[in-house]
Amino acid sequence: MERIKEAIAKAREKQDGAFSGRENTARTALKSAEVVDGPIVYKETRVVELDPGHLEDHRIITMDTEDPNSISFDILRTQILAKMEANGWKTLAITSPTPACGKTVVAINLALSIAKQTDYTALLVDFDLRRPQVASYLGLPRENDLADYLDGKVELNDTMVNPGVPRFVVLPNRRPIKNSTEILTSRKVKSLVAELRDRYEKRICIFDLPPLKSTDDAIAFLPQVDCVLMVVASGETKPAEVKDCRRQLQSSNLLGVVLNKSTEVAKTYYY
Amino acid sequence: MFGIALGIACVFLIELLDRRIHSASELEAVLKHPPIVSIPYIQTKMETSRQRMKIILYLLSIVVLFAALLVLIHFFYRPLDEIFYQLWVSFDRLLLQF
Repeated sequence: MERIKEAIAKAREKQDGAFSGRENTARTALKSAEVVDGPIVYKETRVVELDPGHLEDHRIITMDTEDPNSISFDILRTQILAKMEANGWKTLAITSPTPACGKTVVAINLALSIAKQTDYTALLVDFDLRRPQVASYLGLPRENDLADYLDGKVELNDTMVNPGVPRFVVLPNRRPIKNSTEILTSRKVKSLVAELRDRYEKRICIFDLPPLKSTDDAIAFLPQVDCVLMVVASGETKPAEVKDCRRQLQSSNLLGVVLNKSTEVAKTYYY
Repeated sequence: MFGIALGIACVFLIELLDRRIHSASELEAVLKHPPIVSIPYIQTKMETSRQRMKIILYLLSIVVLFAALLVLIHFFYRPLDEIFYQLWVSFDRLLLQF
């Protein structure tokens, strides 16, 4: 907790001293990577240092590339990027049949893996509007978020957070939004998605969506993204649910399905 | 008795009907396509220590149960020392035979 507070204080200090040139070189370098040739220049993307312990508690493991489990995310990343590159796709939605399949964990780990191991920038957007969890999993401070932007209270740039990892940007959300389906199909969100997608050449946008079976949010939003990834939880998801969701995703580009929480592969990767 | 049998039958029936996906091959059978990747269950440190605690508690409960059994034997059947000496004597006799 102490570290998060420190990080908040640091971020605030940076915000205040944005033009006084107090940033250290590493941070400046990181920012310039974001700022390069964008039509709208970030005055300031908040930088928040993450707490490794907090991440570990929430199964965010790709921060530490030594973690044996991160191999499966490397495979996932490679496969997904290959398919997206081949088709020129830049936006990816992640969903699952039911809640608690681990799609947020997969989304964060995948985004981190992309940011750390490739020259792409990974932008993770929390579009699970009814139950936003990305911010709390990452341990981000309570500041401006997507809900504030959608309410028109703040600028888009003020909602973005850089969690201290180069080329990793998060658009977090803290407040559940009730009329989420309406919002997700609104003109504002459409232009937001278009802007996020087109602002940078080398950027992969990952949208964490709600489960398919709980609301129609995901289905309503999917036409706005290039492709979709479905997360299925071992020991939880039923075959009928998978089939049903497969049918629902017929009109979208389903990149593939990920089996999460698997208990059978644990051993095979140690060779 | 019949009720119990019926209950067990029901449990089995539910198990049969409510099959969940447990492996990549099961998922492949449903989708006609293998999953991109299987991500192992990621255990947090807290879960690992909780699991360890569970094992320790389990072993501890076995020890406690065994001790309780000895106490019961001692007070309600025959004192343990008596049993011990009797065993000793019979063992000795067994040795003398050879």
